[in-house]
Amino acid sequence: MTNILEVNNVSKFFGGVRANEEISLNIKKGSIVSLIGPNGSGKTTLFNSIVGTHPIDSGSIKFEEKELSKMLVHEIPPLGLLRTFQQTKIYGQMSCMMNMKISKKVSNSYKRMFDKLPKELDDEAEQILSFVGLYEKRHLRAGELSFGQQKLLELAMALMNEPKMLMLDEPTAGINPTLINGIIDRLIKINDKYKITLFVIEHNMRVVMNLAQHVFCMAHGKMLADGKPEEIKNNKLVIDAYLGAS
Amino acid sequence: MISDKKELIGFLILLFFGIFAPIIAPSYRVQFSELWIFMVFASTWNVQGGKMGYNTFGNIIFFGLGMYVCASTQIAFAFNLSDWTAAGGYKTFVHSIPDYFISLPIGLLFAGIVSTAVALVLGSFMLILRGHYFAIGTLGLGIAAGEFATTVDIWGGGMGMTVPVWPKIDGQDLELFFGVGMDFFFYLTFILFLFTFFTLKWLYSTRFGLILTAIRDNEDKAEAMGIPTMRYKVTGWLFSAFFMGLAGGLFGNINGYIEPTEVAFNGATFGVYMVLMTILGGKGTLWGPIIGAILFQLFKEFFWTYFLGWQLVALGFLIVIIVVFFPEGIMGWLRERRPEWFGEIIDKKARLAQVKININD
Repeated sequence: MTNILEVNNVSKFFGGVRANEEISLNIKKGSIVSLIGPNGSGKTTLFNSIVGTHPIDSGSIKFEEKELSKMLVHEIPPLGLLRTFQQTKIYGQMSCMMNMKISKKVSNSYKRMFDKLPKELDDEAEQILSFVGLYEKRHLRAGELSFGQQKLLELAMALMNEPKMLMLDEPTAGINPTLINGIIDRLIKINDKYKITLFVIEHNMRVVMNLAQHVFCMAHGKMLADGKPEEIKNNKLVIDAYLGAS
Repeated sequence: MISDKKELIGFLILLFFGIFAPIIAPSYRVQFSELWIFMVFASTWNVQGGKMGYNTFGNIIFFGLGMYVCASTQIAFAFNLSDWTAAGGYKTFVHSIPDYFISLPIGLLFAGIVSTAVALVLGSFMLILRGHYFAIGTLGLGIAAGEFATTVDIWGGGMGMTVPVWPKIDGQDLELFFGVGMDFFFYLTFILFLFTFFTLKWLYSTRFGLILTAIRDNEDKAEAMGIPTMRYKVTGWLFSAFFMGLAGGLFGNINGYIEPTEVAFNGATFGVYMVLMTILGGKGTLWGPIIGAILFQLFKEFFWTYFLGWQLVALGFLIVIIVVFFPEGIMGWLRERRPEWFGEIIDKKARLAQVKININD
């Protein structure tokens, strides 16, 4: 299978802090890949670099052969690459339905700026909200939802945008353990049925083991190891990075 | 939003006063004209401050600019502008009736266009700023605009300039079928209000309006979802600037005299009023600014008439009361009490999970 995302030797320093140093990774189209690493190891910085939140110092990032590193933040999602946030970002004063409808991918031409929202969007939004289990609360203001529900809403908004690849920053953090299984199922279903490539930052190893086909592990801004989940689980370097070298 | 029936009743009340106020309360025509202009102030400020979450103190720039552009166009249409301002009232220039009525719409049109163009230029760099930085930046711009106007000699500099007077026939004010100059401008301001109201009502019903609220709630998220937020922010400002320019053009004619910092670019009164009115009525709603403008105008006229000297103290109290008791305005207070009026309900009906996502690859 071809690579959908290719990151080559990306470095990002914040002054003296080497947040990402010579990071390289490839993600195959249609796969589920996980990125793990202790807190502060540079995972979210890598996500931010990929989606253009800040310029990178060196290296290249290619999504479907297109170079992303010089693009603006809003130019990347139309290509089909979308990310969610660790701290949920939703439109708090708007109803969940409005959050969904505004997330639909629309061409950014000037002519479409003043379009009315088509009626069919309601149905689509309701379907996806019921898929993540928020159908009952769809008319409430998004800011009134609990943190876990906001995470689900953010996932639903991402789905509404119909991406080719979805980068999820800790999708199960702050979510009720019984609900986590449901999320794993849904993520697998999204990947399997709709061929959305998933790139997931996750701390919960149970989720990683059940979900990912391939795992990358970062520590101190560097790529430490990568491989199948079982290999990573037993990798001495990874265990040392999490628990401290013995 | 509030149901259509409530909206219709509110609108009919406005329409009643918009048509009959000069007949039932002829001595309050100026106050009513000012009210319609205040509604335009609050409604257009609400596009930035309420809908988009950008607290601007710079909208007054477009008001003052519109006032100057409209007046100078009206004058330059019939006379030499520098002669007019140099005369400083010692020499009388009188527009002929056709000149007056042709130059006025041209002046208003220019006021709208120039204000919009200036908003495009200012917006393209000011709107890069966010939050408090944008507020402070626009505050500076507003003050700078007033100081700048004092240096423009053709506008009379710090002395200001007069505006063409309502035409006379044999020493009597020209009387149209509905009345004299004040009635004429009363109806023009009401028409401007209607124009603003319906444009914004339409704007808020489109995807554009929704994106403005998305920018307010989380601009980073909107960008991360692929929305070019800068373009929407600037376009939103163009709408406000256009209507503020027209309002300025009309206000100059009603006031009869333009002065840079006391009339045109008066951030300390109008610039603050528009924020107060919007917050009082309820930010981010279509009707909030209108309700706020009505209450504010009643308050202002009452204190300015009966407690002159204490009006600024009263204004201070009003600000405190708004901030403490109605931080979300009257509409926001209603929304807290009656969320169901605004469609916020929990729907217990289940719906089978059935996802249909089409990926176009």
